[in-house]
Amino acid sequence: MLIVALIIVMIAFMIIGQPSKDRLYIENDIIRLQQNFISGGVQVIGTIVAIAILVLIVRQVNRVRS
Amino acid sequence: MLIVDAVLFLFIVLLNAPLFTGLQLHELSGICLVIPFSVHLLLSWKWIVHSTKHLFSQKDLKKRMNYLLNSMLFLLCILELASGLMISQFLVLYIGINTINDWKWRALHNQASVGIILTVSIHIAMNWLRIVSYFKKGIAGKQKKAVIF
Repeated sequence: MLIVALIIVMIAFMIIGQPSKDRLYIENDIIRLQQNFISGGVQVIGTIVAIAILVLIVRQVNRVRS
Repeated sequence: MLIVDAVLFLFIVLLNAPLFTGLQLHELSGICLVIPFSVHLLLSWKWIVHSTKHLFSQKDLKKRMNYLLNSMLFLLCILELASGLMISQFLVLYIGINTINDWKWRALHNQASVGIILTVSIHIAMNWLRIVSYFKKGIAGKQKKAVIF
């Protein structure tokens, strides 16, 4: 498993290349992603709802009933 | 198994909400995800070995699809972790390695996270009956214990 993981990372590294300052992301992530329970809570609920909707759709397609 | 899967699910949800955790905790929980992820793989090891051996002889399309989906999920998780480490702004710096917030690695990190949500949802849906049976067994076990005491 570890070997497979290493191969995946190596392939990604060969495709994308070493992180470079020419491709620097300008925005400040530390400020942008400051902890905020209201926006964060919306993100958490949004993720759970998205997963729930997708699970329902796939179950409908698969016709899996419990 | 149920507890590990529940922890794994919780981690995935929290990791998809960096505003809830903040960047530092996001990076830390990303590293911590390796533990339930590895345990989940180890607990499913028999299935992995069996499915890999019988992948080409397997005629059931659903089982083949499930194998493909799980492989995709593994690939995405590895890419997510690797790209996260590449653009890390706290954890890797603590070790003394300078990182560059490269937009290409960052894009990979974001796209892999969307892919993970998609594949995790399909993974849950495909294993729905098993998850429900785990819950039922868990509840039945607790009820038995309650009757004994």
